[in-house]
Amino acid sequence: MEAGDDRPLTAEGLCARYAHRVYRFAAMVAVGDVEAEDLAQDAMVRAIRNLGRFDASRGTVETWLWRIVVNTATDAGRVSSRRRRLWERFRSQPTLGENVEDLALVRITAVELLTAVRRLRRRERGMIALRFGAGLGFAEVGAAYGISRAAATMAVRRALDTLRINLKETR
Amino acid sequence: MSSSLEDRLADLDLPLPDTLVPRVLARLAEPVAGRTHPVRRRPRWATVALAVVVLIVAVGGATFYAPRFAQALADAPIVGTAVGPALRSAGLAGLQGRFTALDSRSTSSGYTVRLVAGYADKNQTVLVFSVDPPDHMLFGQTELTDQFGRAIAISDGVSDARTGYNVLIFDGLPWPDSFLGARLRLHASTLGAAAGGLALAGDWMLQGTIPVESSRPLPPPAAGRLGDSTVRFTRVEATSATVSIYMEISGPLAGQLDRTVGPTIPTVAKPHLAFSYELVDAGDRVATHLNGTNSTGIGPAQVWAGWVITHPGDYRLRIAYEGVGSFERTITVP
Repeated sequence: MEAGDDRPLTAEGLCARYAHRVYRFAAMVAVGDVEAEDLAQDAMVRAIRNLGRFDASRGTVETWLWRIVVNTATDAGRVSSRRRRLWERFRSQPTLGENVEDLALVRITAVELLTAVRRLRRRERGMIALRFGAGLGFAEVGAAYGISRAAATMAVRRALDTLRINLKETR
Repeated sequence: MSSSLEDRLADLDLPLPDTLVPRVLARLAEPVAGRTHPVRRRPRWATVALAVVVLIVAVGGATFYAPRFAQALADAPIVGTAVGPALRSAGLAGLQGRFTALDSRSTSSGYTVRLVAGYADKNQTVLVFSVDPPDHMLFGQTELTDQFGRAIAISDGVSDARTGYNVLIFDGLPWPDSFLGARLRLHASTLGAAAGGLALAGDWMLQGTIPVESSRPLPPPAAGRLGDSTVRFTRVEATSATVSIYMEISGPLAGQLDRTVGPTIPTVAKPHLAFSYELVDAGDRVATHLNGTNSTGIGPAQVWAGWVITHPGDYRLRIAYEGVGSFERTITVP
């Protein structure tokens, strides 16, 4: 069922309502745009194929969907984390400027910000992607990871702190 | 800055690709693996014809699809010291004597790429290449496939811009390559610039046939504790040159295997992983860590680690989590 009405939840309906947010999540947790699209596709397909198992008495569609999305990302992460390490070993580190004491966030491009998010550890990426990519509240982020709202709030805060440190080091 | 960073993250422009929803719907239209369909009885004449075709394909294609039995393998010499420096820089010196020599060359855009040697066991496939001139490396758009056309994912690699040797490590070969041997084909459409310059476009196609080192199971050691978490050893395997250990970690540390500790001092020190493991021989020499993965998320974490070993005997496996505890187990490699 759609949240808030009695219409059956269909593949097209799930895509129309959630595909963009799932993609925003995937774009932040995946190592590249191609991997992001693959991850979003896999997550949506897995969710739609499991629609028959959704039990409204056990929670909302959103909670159920984001658990599937996070699990799909975790599975994909086994491979992508190795690819990321490989990429980091091979590529030459770009020098964006040294001795910059104060980071002016306005000078960070969207690409640089997304790249910095993608270089976070897997769980940190997931937290930020759910909160700011998919636009979930802290309670929903916690539900997707099986942790409390307070724990999710702390985890997101720690991930943001790490991101700030990484951005400063990069600049 | 705090709120603006959050705003910038929320406002990141990440438009939905036009192709995504059509791809999802197209995938849903494909049959799911394992789904059963009603079986229609095949006419007897068709069965006989099919058997003849299968026999022809089996005789004609056996040496292609089952390269273990091909003469090429029987004649392949083992690589000696030629690739030693490249393997040492990749931490694979212990595998040196196990490589099969190969000689496949491809030239494009003025650059010659040569497949020099290969090694494969259940968990990894290692290929050594040389690039001439050496100022570009074999890391760009590359795809490795086996004789069945299946792609083998790359997992690690090292490039030496001085000698032009590149060592690429791929995932283990899938069944039935894992016992038949593999006829591998690597296609590269770009070479990366070693000094951070522009990638070079071209078309390099290389082929080689390598056997797969067989592995044997060893008895897993007893489980251990790291604070309130339990480390259970689910599988231990060894080849003549490697040891692979599979662990399952349950408890509070299961979701914290990626956590780092230690200070960040620019150009001096970086934080390191709190979770660590190493394999040490009887002479206290640390075995070269070959590769490994860990999967953390909801539930127990799965960890796999592989090392190069140089001789049989007793090895001590040390598992530690900084600030929590450590323990050792003995692995006997016959």
